[in-house]
Amino acid sequence: MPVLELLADLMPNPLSQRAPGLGQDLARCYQCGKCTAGCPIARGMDIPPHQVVGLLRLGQVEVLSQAESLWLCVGCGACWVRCPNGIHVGELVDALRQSLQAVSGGGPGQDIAKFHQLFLEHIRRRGRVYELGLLARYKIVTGGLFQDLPLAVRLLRRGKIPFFPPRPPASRRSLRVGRLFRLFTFGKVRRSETRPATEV
Amino acid sequence: MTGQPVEPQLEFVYYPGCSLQGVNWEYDASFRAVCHELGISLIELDGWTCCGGSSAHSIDPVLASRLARENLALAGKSGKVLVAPCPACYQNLRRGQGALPAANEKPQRAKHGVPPPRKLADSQAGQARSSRPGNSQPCLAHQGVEPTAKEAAGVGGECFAAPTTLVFHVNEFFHQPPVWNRLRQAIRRPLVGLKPVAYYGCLVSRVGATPGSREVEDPTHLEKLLELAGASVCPWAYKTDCCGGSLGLTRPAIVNDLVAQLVDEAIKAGANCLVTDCPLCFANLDGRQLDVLRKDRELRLLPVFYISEVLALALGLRGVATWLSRHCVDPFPLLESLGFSREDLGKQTESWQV
Repeated sequence: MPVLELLADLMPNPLSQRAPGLGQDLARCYQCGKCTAGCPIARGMDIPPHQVVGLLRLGQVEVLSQAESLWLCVGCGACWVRCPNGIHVGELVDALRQSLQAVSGGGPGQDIAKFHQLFLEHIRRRGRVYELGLLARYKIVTGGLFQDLPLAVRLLRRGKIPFFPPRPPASRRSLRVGRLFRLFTFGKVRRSETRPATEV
Repeated sequence: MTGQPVEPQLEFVYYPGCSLQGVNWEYDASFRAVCHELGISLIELDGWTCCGGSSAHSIDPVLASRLARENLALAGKSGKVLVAPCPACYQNLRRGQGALPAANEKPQRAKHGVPPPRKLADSQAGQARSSRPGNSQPCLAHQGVEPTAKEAAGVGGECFAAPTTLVFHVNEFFHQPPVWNRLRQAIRRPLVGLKPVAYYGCLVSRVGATPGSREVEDPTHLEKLLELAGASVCPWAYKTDCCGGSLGLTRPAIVNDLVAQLVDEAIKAGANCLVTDCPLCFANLDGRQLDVLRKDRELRLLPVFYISEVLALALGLRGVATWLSRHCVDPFPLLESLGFSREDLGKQTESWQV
């Protein structure tokens, strides 16, 4: 399908062109809407799953890059297990996120994109995720520090969230996780990587 | 399990994952306690790293694959089965076992028919395949990653052994015949009067699934475990519906909606508690019920348990209160109505506490 090749061309990281969602044949979709019927998040979406597939088939990448639903998808896979034609909208949306991240520039849902980026940055630095630190950073960055305060207080009071970061991993191995992030650009295209890389 | 003849030793490599070390540590503690009681040793994977959660595959499939394979490679060296109680970790690890397709290549579709359940014995077969020597090319996911000093010297390929390591989720783990048999013999306190609904969440039944098979829409392994523990499980249609997952942090309103619906439906099904095996589902269901209650009308609070906590209750373990007192929705009134006294639950036991 040419649409998917178009997406692959937009991928900032050449290795990302191997995203599993990109190989799907969208011509098989007949817009029955079972994905949308089963989608738990569809109630809050501006463009529901079956329309994402429809728009993509029409090549409306611009419209999709401004859709909040792109970032709302939680990847639960309900669309895939119910699709009579085996289309995985979740993986398609993953691929869309990866390819459109560089071009969308501040569309709705960017706060969710920010959360994912902070999460990964956290792993790069620490090897593991320390929830309270991540949470606080996310809330500060997005300016919603008081949004979930009752929940945070409740969790802290019950001793559910440890206030201090956990002890460092037993071996220092997990701190070496940073090397896995080579070629990973948090959605920004680096000049050195725009030309075809030899690794592919 | 006192007085049992010595059985073959059961050892598993354990991948707790970040959330079991943080917000959901009751799951970790209760799972370890149950395994300790059953005489199963869990060896925590040395030097494990985060699986990438739901963020890695959203942003970069290659990074997701690398993170998973890094852990699988660590586990592969031990030659044991890896147990990952968190469905998100489980999903990422299982996904890491599948090869990334070549650029613009169609991923392979699952053939029709249901794959046979995976068994402990498979791990030996996998081991034989994985210890193939002389394979020195890095896999696709590790292209462009500098090798460690050891790997450069040719000791232990980074991810060559990885993809065949067998990964179990808690359900699969407890359903392995040796574990199941020990569990069945060790039930001391059947939980008569506990009427749970089994809540799988969205990930567990869909990892490696065949769309359209019965297991995807109507899995039953949690129910079987609960029945083994003496509970009378209520049937309901929402067992694999999503709780909203990580949107709980970014879009609380959507998740509150989903939580309200799940609790409503569980009550309609006649349940007096929810049992889950997913830390994220637990955090949303347990943590957000009070938020929902504040805004909402006639929501009744429903206690939520981890499957390992329910098993610990049925095994008559005594440290249970330490975990239960950290739940946001107080489970003690329900347990007291089942005949547990606080003293029953409250006393600390010794050795499993790490």
